Amino acid sequence: MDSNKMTDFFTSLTNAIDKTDSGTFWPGGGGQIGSSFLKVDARDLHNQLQALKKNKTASEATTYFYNPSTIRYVAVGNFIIGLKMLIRDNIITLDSAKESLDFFFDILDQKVSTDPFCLNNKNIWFNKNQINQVLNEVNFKKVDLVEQTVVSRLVIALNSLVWSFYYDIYVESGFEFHGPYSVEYENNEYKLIIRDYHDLRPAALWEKANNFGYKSIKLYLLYSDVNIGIDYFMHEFSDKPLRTNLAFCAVETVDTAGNTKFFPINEVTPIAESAEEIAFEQVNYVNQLETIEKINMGARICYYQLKSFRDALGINWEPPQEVFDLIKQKGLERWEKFKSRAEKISAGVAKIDWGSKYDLAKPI
Amino acid sequence: MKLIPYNFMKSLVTGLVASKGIAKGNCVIVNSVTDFSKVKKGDILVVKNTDPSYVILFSRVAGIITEVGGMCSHAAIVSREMGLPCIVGTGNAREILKDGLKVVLDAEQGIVYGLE
Repeated sequence: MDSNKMTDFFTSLTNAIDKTDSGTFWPGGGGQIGSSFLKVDARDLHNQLQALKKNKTASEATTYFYNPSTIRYVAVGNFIIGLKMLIRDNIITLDSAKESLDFFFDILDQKVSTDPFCLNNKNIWFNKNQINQVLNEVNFKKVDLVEQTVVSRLVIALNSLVWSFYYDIYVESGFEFHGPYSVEYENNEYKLIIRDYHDLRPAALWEKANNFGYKSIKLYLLYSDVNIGIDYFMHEFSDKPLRTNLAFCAVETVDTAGNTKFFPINEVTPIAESAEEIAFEQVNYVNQLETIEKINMGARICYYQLKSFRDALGINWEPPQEVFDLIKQKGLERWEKFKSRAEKISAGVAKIDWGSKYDLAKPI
Repeated sequence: MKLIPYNFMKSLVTGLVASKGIAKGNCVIVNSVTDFSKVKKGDILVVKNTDPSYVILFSRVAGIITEVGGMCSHAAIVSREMGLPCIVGTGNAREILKDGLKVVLDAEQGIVYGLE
């Protein structure tokens, strides 16, 4: 990664981290869950990328990752910090680590249409042709005040369902929130946001996921008169309430049999109710797990992030036994240690953790 | 929008504005799921922070006050989507505000005023 791109990466990361408070992550933060096994996770991905690089270009490898945020989350989640630990321990060389990371970010570059790191508060996944296709093919419906509330409830219900299945820190496994795309529709200017809930039934992780009646749901939303931002971690922010500025909407569902349907807005409330009920039950189920079980499931969710990539390579996506052994040895200690550190991360700390000039290098 | 002149009301709690707006209602302190049944329509939800299980409360409340969290916390994202006034990072709202206390949540300025 050249120095300009490195600067972009840090600027974007700092902007995103500045708005978060890691103490509020449910059911635990990245350090609490990932710190005992991140070196193994990074080693596995490093080896897999090195092998892939021999046979595929970054452009060809984009098909192995459904959404761009998977690459962003994995890079900052365990990969970069794990690579630095592997270099420190002389398991890999600095050059090979750079190669893997560059290749990983090249795939991200190919996956998106413009800036890969969501600078300028945009997550631009689709190109102009894809957006035109959305505008031409999606059956948008103008929404009234009641429908604005219905859609808003559906958004929060589906977000909550995804949060409950993937924990706060791995949400991109079930959800990509992209845009805002500036578009013209029926002779007016709008901001198009696409909420792509692409994996709402992760039954490989949770049996309860089978209770939800839809594999995936896409919400196409046209907003007027509101500034919407999306950062590196798909955090959304706006200067005005989103609900009251929603002008047009379309809800596209894929049911368990794989049938795609545009759902009438006035019929989506039962979907929201089902998502709310399952999310509520799922959060309470996770909350009553022993801490070690929460971490073990966190490791499985973490590895699930790259399921499509590992499926394509013919590799079992589940974490190796080594991961669970490490959690057994160090998981609880790390959970408590990072819990006490669960405070706002400064930009300086972010640079030490993810920067190339610094070496975190001290095991805790 | 100002409901009544603020200089006649007592400022109780301050925090970061996560979603703009002004709401008036009774405080309800929620510490865990066992408190969910206390929440009535139009209440001002006062919590340490929210998690996805709170999804069933959001359509009932008029506003949200959290003790911790930033602009991209769960409560902040939910409130901006739903247009609920919300302030986050108040630090000690659950100590100062009590169940049933009537307040104005001024999420234009990040201040909670007491009405009693």
